[in-house]
Amino acid sequence: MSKKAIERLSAKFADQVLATHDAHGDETAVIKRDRLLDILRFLRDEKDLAFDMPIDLTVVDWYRKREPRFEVVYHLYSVTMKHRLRLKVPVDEDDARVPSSYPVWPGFDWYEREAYDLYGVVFDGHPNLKRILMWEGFEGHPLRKDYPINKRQPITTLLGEKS
Amino acid sequence: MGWFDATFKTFGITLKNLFRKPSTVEFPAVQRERAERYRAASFALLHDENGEEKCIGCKFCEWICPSQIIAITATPKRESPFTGKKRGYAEDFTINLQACIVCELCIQVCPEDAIVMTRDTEQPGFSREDLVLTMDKLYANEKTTRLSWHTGAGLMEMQNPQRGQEKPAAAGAEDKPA
Amino acid sequence: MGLESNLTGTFVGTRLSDALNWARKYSLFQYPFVTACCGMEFMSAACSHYDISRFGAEIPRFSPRQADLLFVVGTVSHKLAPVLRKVYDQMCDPKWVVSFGACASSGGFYDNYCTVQGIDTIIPVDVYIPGCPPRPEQVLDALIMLQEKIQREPLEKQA
Repeated sequence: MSKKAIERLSAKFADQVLATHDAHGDETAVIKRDRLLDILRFLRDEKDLAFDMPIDLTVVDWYRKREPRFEVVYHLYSVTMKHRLRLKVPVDEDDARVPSSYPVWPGFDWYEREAYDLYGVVFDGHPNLKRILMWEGFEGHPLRKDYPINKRQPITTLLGEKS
Repeated sequence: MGWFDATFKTFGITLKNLFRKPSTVEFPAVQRERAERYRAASFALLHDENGEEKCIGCKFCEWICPSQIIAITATPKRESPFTGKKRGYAEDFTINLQACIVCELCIQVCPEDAIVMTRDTEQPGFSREDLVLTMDKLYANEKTTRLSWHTGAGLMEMQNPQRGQEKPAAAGAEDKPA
Repeated sequence: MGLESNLTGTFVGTRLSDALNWARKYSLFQYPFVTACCGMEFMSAACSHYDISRFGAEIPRFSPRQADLLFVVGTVSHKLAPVLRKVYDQMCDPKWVVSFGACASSGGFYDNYCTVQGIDTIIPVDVYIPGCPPRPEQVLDALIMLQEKIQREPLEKQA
């Protein structure tokens, strides 16, 4: 597969792309979060890129291994052009905020809620950013590497009761 | 008139099945036949030909168990009364069947082929403690239940038939980690 | 009701208890609380090769108010735990619980932040079935054991 998507992205947003690499057609671009929504809109709307399908959104926690600590990962696919792209957005632990991609792809709604629930990365502008898998009153974000492995938080109230 | 024929065809199928032998196995009296390589979530520890315990207490199975249900207390090495060589023994060996996922890893790592799975399933229990296999029960299972065909060496030989011929399985115990 | 407390220990009381228990153990109406892959083996136990109806536990009732045997089949997460407790509380006495498979009995190998480490931390359990998943034979074994347990129950517990 050609490196067309990365080249187009680097040409248009030269100051925003931190690094690019591809291995066996697996294209990845590490970008800054400042103009993230512009980049996502550009990838979706350009005729020859046309990333119209949001595949996956997840977070990687590089606890004590790398700075900045978190990396928000977007997996995109184009049904018409049949190519893929992976975007990585590094965010710091103290300022773990990313603009929500909901206005671009509404399909990322629950992915962002899950990433917020399990990693604690806040998605600014999300219409309904609350926990999706964990229950109300859960403390902490369990997939962070510093969450205690033996910590249990059972629900003590019955269904329908107020705690 | 497809529906008309189909109606009588279904009547025919019903009539035919009315006189067929039922497929139900009368369970407590009759056990259904199991596949040759079937293994169930129960274990047995084996003795060697001298009647000595095969387990040397190396704790490989305790480390590899994904559910962490095997607990072994090993004794220091001492001389075997039969062969005269120094080897380890397991003082206590418990398998907590509450969380066993039948992954067979403990059998694959066992260097002495001491642990095997059984073909008979474990009985349910009235309490959680009933599902714990103690050392006595594990050694009793060797005599009382039907053992599965595979041991650690048997599985290895199945993967790589030449390997078993080069090095016979009856190796000495002293070169194994304890 | 109060009547059975007067009959406890008498000849009439023991005969009545035997008759009641005999009726109860062969008419178990089960509520399958199926959350995970063990449900496949549960279906297989209900199908014709094993035929759970030979033991009188034929009809699954999908309302807990009509059931008196709760089969907890599969992993129960902490978020689901209040639901399970409520289902148990909605069942009418006398009621029994069977913990089906490794995950329901002890949490299985899901020793993590979201899984209940055994449903007996939430509700009382009568019979535990080991296995991942259990054989249908083990399910029927558990049912026979539960029937024996029901037959042994004294009269004053049946109020």
